[in-house]
Amino acid sequence: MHQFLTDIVKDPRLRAGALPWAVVLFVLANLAVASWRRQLEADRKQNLLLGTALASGAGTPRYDVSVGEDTSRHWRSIPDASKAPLVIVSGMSQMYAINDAKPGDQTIVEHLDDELSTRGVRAFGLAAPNLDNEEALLYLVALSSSASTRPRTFVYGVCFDKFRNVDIRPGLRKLLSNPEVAEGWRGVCEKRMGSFPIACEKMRASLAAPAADASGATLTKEETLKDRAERRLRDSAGASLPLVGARAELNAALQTQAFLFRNWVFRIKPTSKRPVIQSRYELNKQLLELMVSVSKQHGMKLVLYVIPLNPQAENPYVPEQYAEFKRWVEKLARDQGVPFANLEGVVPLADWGEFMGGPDFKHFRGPGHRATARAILDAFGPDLFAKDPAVP
Amino acid sequence: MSFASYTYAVFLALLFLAHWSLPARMRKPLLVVASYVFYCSWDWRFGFLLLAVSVFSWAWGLLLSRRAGEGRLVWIGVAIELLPLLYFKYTNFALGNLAWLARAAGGGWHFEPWHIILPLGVSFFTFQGIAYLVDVATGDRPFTRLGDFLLYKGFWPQLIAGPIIRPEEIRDQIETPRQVSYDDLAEGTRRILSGLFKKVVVADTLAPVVDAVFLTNAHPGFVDTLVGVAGFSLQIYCDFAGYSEIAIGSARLFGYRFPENFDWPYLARSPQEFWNRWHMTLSRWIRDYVFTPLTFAFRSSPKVSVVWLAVAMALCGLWHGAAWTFVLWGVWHGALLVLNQTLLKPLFAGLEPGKPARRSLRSVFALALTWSLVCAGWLLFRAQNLGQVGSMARAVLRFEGGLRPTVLRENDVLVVAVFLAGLFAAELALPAWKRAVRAFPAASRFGSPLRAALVVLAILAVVVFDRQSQAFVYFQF
Repeated sequence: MHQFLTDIVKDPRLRAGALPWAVVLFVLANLAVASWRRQLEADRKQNLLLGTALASGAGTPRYDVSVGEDTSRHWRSIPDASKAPLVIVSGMSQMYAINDAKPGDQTIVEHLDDELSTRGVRAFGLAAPNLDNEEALLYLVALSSSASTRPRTFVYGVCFDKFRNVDIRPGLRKLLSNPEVAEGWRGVCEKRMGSFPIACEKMRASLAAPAADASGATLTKEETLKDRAERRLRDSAGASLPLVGARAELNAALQTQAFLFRNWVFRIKPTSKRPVIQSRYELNKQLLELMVSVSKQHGMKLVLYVIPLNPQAENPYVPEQYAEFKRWVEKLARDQGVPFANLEGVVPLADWGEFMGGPDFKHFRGPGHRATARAILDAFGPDLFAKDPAVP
Repeated sequence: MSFASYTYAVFLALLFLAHWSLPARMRKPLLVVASYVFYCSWDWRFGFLLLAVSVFSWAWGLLLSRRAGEGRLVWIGVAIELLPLLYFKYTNFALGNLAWLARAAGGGWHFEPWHIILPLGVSFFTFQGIAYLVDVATGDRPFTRLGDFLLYKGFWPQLIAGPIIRPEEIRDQIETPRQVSYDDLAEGTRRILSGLFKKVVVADTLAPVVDAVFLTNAHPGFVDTLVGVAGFSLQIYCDFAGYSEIAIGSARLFGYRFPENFDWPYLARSPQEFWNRWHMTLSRWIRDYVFTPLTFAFRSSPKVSVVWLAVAMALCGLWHGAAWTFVLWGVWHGALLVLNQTLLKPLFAGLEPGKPARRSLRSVFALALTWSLVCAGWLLFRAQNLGQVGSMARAVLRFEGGLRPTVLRENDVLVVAVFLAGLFAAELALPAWKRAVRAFPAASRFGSPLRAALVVLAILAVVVFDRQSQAFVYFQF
């Protein structure tokens, strides 16, 4: 070691300045995170409304049990669409969250898979909390990039408040690291810019934004050396330092606090009426229209339904705006020949649960999942298990 | 290799140990090789471009030093230095405008932009090369050793986005053996951490909020536009200043001191002071290599020097990006500087740092006005086209959407407000803390634990907010 480094090591300020304090505090922070990690993970599961859902994911998952955070890793579990017809069920947290979960409870897609597999059709769920239309479109484009994942039918639960959300979150953005998916995405925005300018511009911006990391490339392609090195370094740092290892949990905890702070600042409660944000609403309308267009292009049957809502709970929707939204979705489906159903009232009153001290307006108990799956089968049965459904 | 990646942290640590463990004669070659590895990690092909441009600058500098007084040689050298920049950055812009003119004149030229990849840092190493040739031609000593020059031009911390270092600022440091002390190490790591905080925690968090407002089809209203522009003012500052701090800190670990690039620019009390605090190495470059030569060449007409100020700033805008919005941004700042010297002079006079009037109500008004004028400039800078500038300006003037956002959610408004308040609080609190320590030396006893707590909090924030190793916004400049 050179004299300069030796001098630095011997410098008394090294022992008397801020460094020893910083080292002690850093070690304490790591110890604290290590001891809180289990609690942080539990909080995070709760935050994602996972409950006991992960437990049912033991074995081969029948839906993306990372709930959108690591979709690319779960891609391999999608049943091979080139061997048996595939139905993808997509939507927000209602798809997988089970209130007051009991052993043996299943999600909507698991009920559907049980039923459809007896007829030689497989179902798989790709859901994420607050999934917005751009993310659902990304699922659609990513699935269509390969014959083994291209579904025959894509069932999408449309949710009014998700029309307030835009953008693709980091976990899902990994999908765009795959060159074939990126090419498909680029093709959609280039070909349809004239008809859907708002949506296509947003898609282009999403493509230009850097990915969270390039591990989406593992879908089908090799990671680059650089990407692999960076990922391994992050993994190694995470394995040795609890602070780094638990960064996702800490980030979630921070976001939860920020969410509560926002609610406090703006006096927002679960029942506060939240009007549409016009620009975001228009963008999401175009993105849904694009989903119709893309599914037709790839010979996939898109099926839309308005998700069940709890009539006992006050929801944050402005009634006139919600009514107008339902009319618009129905008209879109009718005009485009897309199978559509309004499943708002299919879950019995007893099958809902509680959320933040009041009746949950959007998530239900195990029997609610069974009832919704049954309603989907009743409404769209022929589109799900017919040998060769007609694509409009 | 992004500065905000774990790969860079390992690269820096290994290089630090290797550099200071090697004999002095091998340190500079190691830094040159490391710089080219760093640059080629983006695209190895452009490593050859950098090498070719560097060898040319070095050889031309030697030629200029031997044939002093031949002004034509300087111009030829500068023109050759500019070629890569003109080709890679401005070809499509120039041809696109020519095609537009041809169509306007009734022609039928349909122009499809060429697929040209912009080499990283080309704007910066071109300006550095020009400064070198001009300085040598006006009497400065050239680098005689190619290895020294390769380090001057290619030293990785400043290679991609500055600071733009002039030969006189670093020649002695390159030519004499470097030493490193405890202070260098402490200051270097502090600057790197501070830069990472600005980049990862502030700039990256604000990016999606700003992007949402500036989509061309977003139709932002009054609130969205104000929040989007204010958010961008913070994003670009923290992104670029963060990058500069990481560069300065990285160089310091190897015993090199780079000039500062930012000095709390949003505390400026006039447009002129803003440019003394914002991207300071570029401001000085524009002043010394564009504005001063122009005013000197036309010294017989001193009254038109304000015109040269506007021209210099328009060129500064064009350097930032090949689009008319950037040119207009430059013109806007040129106009502000001219107004600063003329009509608005009474308002801004006497508010320089250290002057008593700095604490007056007029000073607060001047600060708010300067920040607002700078933000208006950021609208031009960030907008995708002139149409968007017009529609967003209309949204503000017509109070479109009232106080209800049409693009942003409450979360976004809150994020921008919190960061903005945080920035101004930090800007005001730091000098106050320094004054307190001077007035009450006992307060310095709390300095070490306080600094340590801030360091650990910053590390925690960087780790928690680090969702991705994004490219820096300024990379394309």
